[in-house]
Amino acid sequence: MPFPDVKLANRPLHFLYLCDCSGSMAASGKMQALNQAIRQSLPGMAAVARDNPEARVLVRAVSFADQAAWHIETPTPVEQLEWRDLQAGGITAMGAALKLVAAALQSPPMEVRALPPVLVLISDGQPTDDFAAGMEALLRVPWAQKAVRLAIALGHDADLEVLQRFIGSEPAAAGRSPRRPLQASNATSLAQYIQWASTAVVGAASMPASRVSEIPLGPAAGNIPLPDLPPTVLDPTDDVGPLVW
Amino acid sequence: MVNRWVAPIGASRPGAAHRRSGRPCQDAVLCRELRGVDGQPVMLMAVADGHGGRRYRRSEVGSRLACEAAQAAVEGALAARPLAEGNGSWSRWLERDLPEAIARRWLEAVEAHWHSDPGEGGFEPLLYGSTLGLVVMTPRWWGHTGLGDWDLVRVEADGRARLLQEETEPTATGEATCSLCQPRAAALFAPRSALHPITAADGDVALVLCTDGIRKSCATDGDFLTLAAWLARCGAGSEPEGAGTLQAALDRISREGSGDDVTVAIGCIGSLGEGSPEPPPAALAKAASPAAAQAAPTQGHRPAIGRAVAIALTLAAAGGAWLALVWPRSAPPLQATSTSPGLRAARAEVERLCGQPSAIPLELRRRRELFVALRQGRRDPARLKAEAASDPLAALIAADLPVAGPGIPPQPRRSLQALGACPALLEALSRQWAATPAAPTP
Repeated sequence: MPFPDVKLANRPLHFLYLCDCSGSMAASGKMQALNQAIRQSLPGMAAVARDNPEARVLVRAVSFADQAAWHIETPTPVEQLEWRDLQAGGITAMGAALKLVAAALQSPPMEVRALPPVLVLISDGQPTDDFAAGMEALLRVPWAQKAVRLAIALGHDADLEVLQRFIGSEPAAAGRSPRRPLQASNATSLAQYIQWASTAVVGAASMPASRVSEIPLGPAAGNIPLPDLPPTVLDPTDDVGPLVW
Repeated sequence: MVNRWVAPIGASRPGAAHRRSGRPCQDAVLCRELRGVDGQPVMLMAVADGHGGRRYRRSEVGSRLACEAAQAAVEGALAARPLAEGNGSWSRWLERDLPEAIARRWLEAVEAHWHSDPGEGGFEPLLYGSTLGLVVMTPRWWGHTGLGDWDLVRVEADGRARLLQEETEPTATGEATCSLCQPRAAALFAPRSALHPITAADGDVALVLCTDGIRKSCATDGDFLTLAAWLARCGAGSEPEGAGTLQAALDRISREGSGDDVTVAIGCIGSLGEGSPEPPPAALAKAASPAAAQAAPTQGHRPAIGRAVAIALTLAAAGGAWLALVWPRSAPPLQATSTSPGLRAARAEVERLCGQPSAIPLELRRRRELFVALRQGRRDPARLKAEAASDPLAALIAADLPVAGPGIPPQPRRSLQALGACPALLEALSRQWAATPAAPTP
């Protein structure tokens, strides 16, 4: 009995970088470190994609400075991605970047069968536009609500409060710390966080594992806003190497 | 006419991703032939899907115990009340009593398992989290209940397939699903419960119950329904290699699709005189003891649906448009003056949708957000139409956006009609628009 003529397909996993390209990123080599970290992470991400053929890892990137704009607009298979350097200059239109991503996460063009996307926000400063409006627009989109949202703060001037609002709150649970933005204080720790997000997180998001839904019927026991992540080798507040930023 | 269910069959296979990472299959399946207190045969099939994440590290046990709890709860009811009781009573049982019994038994079972094999930390049901879907088939009615992201498809003798059940719980989005480990889980069964009386007018039917790994492996819901019809044939067919075929198919579905564990259970009903055997005397002799009546799937003939679906699928495999034969199309599309890629894509989309009319409501329901956004003016229909080449279905929906306003009569839908839209597509679109509020939702 021949198998029917149906189309079976793996599931797209959208990975989006939201990169702060304000003028302050030019200081102390932060922009150079970010470009290098992302570029160096791509082989690892491609390897994870190869190891998880049931997920099709597609990468996009948004840069924000005076305005928000697509740096990589077309969802690009990670193995085909060639990272072009971001350039620093301008202020910090983070709210506009969130709106841009919100529009991209509408369905369509997002596929119904997609895995929850991964959004990584990287910033060294404070939003200079209406962050709250951008956040509100983002969280109105169901795919953004389902997304794995991570934030990396570069240096000690980064606005941890807005980054925390971006990733949402998850209280401490047994064996887990409350979720906080990752704080990179130098190029080494930034590279490690980017590597972690593009490999361990992508690997976890690629695996088809369900989780318990939130229900209004009782205590929120068991609710997990994000898919289970493998334990990071780094504590989010650890300094790795000398303080630079 | 006495309706007779054939004993269901099922299969569960570890997903490709699970095999690669050395994880066990966290799905479970159970198919049983039981007896009512009055001796009538009752079939039960159940599937369960353990959540699989690190927090649910005993979910392969939880899914197995979920199926066993379902069997024990059904057997308990069959021993206590005759099937001749009114359908209303059994309907309430499916919706309320059975879920409570299952949830209670499952909690007891997982806690007992923990105490027999304690691990680190304390016991919590979360460790064993699992979904559960089940179908009970009696000579007078059949019914389903459960919670979580399982799907149930009904396949008619002529091959038409229709999705009867899917998870619609608003909080169950993405990879989130309702679970037996949640507080007051029994209350979550009600929306997934229904009783379907069997009448003399009903034809042969197959029911395909599956975990989410199968649907998530299909590119479209149309593909899923076609696959379900084929699986029904596997279940209904009398070929001796049927079980092996089913397992090989499940492996392929996971390998080329979602990578998740994949599980299916298939039940079929035939009528006496069409190939279904009388129950064996030995089984009838056990009628007074439902708990003892558990039996392996029958080896007898499968009903006519297996042959009918087989014929339909043979046509499909031979290159014939099986679904198009089953559902006659409307008048052929008019020739359009433009041959732009967008228009060609839109026309092809109409043809695809109208080739599988039963999948249309599903496909449109998946685009609910778009209907709402268009109605509320948050999406630009002109832009969607201009982008028809990349998303033809969105363009069709945009082209059908009703012009609303006081005193404006309903407009003829020339755009879609010119593309050859069949009545099923027009009707399904109308239903979606009728259910879509114009004002922004708070």
